[in-house]
Amino acid sequence: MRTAKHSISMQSSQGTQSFHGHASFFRILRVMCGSILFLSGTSAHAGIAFTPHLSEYSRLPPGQYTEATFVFTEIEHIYDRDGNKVKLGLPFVPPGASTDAALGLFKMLWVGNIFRDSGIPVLSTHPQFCRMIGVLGYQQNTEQIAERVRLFGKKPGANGHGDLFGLCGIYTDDYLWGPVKANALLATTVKFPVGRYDQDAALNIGTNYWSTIPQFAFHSEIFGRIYIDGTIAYQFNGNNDKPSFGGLTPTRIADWKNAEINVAWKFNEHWFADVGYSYRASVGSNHYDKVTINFVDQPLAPESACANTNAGLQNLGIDPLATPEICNSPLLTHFFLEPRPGPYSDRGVMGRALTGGFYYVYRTSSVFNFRVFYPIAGRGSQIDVLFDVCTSEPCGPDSADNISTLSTTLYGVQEAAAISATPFYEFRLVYLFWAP
Amino acid sequence: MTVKRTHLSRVTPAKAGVQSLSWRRWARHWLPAFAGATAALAAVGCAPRETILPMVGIEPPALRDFPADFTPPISNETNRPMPGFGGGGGGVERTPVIFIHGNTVSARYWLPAREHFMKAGYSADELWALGYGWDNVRYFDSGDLSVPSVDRIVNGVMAYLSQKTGRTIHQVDVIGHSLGVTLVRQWMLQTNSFHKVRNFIGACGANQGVWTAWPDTRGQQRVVSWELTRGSPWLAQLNRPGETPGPTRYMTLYDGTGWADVLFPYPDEHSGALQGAYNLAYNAEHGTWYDHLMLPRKPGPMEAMIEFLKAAAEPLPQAVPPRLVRDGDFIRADQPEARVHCTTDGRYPTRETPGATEVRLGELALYTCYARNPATELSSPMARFRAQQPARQQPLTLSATPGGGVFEHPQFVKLEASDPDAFIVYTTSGTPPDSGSPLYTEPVYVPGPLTFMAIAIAPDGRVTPPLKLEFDISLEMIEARNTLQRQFDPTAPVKYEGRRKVGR
Repeated sequence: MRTAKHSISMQSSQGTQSFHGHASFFRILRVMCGSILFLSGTSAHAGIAFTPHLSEYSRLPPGQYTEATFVFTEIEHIYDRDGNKVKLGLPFVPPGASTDAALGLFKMLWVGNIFRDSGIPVLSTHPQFCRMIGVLGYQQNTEQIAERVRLFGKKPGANGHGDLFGLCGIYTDDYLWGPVKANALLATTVKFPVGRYDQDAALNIGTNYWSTIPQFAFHSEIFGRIYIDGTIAYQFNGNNDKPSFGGLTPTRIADWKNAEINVAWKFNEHWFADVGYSYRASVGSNHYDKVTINFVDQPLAPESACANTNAGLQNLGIDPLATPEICNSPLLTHFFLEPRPGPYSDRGVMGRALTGGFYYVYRTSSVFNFRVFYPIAGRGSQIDVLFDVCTSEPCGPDSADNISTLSTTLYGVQEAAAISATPFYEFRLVYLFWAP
Repeated sequence: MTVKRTHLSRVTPAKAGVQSLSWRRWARHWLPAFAGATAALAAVGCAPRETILPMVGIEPPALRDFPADFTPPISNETNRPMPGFGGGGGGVERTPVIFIHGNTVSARYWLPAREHFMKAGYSADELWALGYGWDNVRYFDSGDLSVPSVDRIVNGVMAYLSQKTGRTIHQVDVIGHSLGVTLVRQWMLQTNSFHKVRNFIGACGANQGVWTAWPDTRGQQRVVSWELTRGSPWLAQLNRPGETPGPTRYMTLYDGTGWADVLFPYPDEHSGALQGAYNLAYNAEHGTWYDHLMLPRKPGPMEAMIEFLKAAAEPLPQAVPPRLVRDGDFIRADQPEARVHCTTDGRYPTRETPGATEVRLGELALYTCYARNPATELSSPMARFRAQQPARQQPLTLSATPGGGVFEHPQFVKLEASDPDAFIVYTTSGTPPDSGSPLYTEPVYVPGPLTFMAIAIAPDGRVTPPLKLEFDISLEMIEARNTLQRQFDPTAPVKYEGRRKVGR
């Protein structure tokens, strides 16, 4: 190990040609480390946001409602920190690779007034509601991405049950101004981090941090034909002291602010169509304190780095970055990489999207809803991670065999960090028990 | 390889530890919490407070704003004293008003109306509302199931006020909303109580059906749904004798635009109207957008209701209702000022039916009559008459098919008298029928659990003993027949003890 470092040090003192070789070597390393960011992809869970549905915030009749929402997506694009839409996995994954997700959300809603006739001011005259949402999900990366993920000793996907959401709230009165009828509600959602969570997985169904989301929402009907539902919410996020995928999920998650609106047109009692707009953004930055993402097979040989990198670039039609001279240089035998855990901060995340869909109401007990969620802008989480390059282990900033430090830009992954730029499709079924 | 192994060994224990910690945490902390929360939500959602709270020794809060000496009647549906409001002083100067709520709500629905009516001069003693149902969307009410409850409400209030004021209260004004409209109409019809209602105001009623009701059992159907389907046999039976029968003044109040009240879109926007009534499509005529629940509780519509009520003359305080008297083939009233109003087309006479001091019965016609005294504004119950015919020798009997029992679906009950010239009257309210009860013309539609009674009256005046049939067409039966077990094994026995559980 010492020999390797020594040889590199000697090389760097031997003039331009050698220096050129040294610089190219680090460029390769940067690209190679950068491959992590593309490999990591994004959690489908992260890409899924929900604008309000038709009459989501109206004063529903007392009763019990069940709802199942199925979401399907193949995420092929995500947003980077500059708001650019980037192809998932490029240049190291050939086109066509994606993160596939199928999620099922099961909701149970109760509307009633447990304080009715109790004489308690406000509560006795305003119905309350509570909702629980459970999630089941299938999330997997396609094979090309999965192969890359395995380079880091990680798992490409995660299936199972997600976090549990519980919310309760209270309705205001109904107000009427001419043809405009409106009501509002106040609610607070708590996300219980009970979902399946694997620290080694690139995708996770669970998030492993608490969230508390106070929310104000309103519903309005105009001329009995136009239905408007909107909400603003603030999501307080707890910390995640066990980040997954080598620390590429934030440990200190930024709070979120959400604003959503949906406008529906009623054709008749059975058919509706709607369009919606969703905006959500983090308040401040996400912080990463436990970055450990790294190649599992170390020490790394330059040959493997060259092959790895050049293959990826060729997919983009770019000439090989690492020349055979560099790759076959006897001066580069092997080395170790070790990321510095942080702290790192991103620029915050943001997503804006449009939705469109239609509804069919069967009798009064069932609603079938199909919707497309189309991202129009976003900003994903990226951080510049420092990697120490050593010729022996343990590798770190204070290691005697530390030969250099690289900075490479990595994507944050999963719900708190990744913003999908790919549309997703939602099929929703609402069933009202005991409808007339 | 050594290095690689070292690297992996650094990862694997951590990974294993996280996974085991995750499952332990799930098992120890969140599973019970999740299960508890789900159970609590399911319990709250599936059972009414009236079921849950007594289990833990808590009396469910309810609106019970009654005088101490008033005993609320027992609901036919819940088997419990009805909640509500009424009385409280001020005396009875006007005809008392009884408010009948709609489906899935209760008497408290009318609290804004009480406040408004009191501002308009009504006293607390003159305003009453009682809840006849479960007050929970889990339990849909029914126009048939709650007829006995309405009967108890009206008779209970009249009896209480009569006792309190020292004079007999013969009439009330009734204001119904939504299901309460068809319910009150069914009560008046089945109990021959038109004469007890001076004014009836029906707000947002499904008099011609409602689109949310369906005639079959797909989905979560309820008795009310079978009753109120557009063109249902139940509505046909309700409307066939006339939509505004008897001496009662009728007013309806409804949306009329087809957009504000979601229950009555086009082409049902005038379902709330009744032929012969003062029909006020309030939103359509006033440019307002009051929805189904708002409409009868907004100042404008309430003013219209009060105006309608006040337009009717108050009965004289000590007056006595007239009675129909038969004198051979003549029908008269027992009061000289009273007039007899009759029809012969099978429909009930209305307030607009011309009156006469006496009516001579024709040979073949069946007369349906009531007497009304314009001086006192009081009336008699309906009665039917036929010209006297010679006595016949053959015995008079009455039979029914099916003869009562437990059924999964609504039934059509066919009645047959041994004398084909006899006319048959029936009730579905458990009330003993009289000659003024609904006339049997075709098989009677029985959509829910009820007590069916009928008599046949022969041309010579003979009357059969009342035929009493119990029909149990209930949710429990449907549920019992559609258990998961029977889905897989149609031969599995239906575990049903029979008769809808009262007080469920």
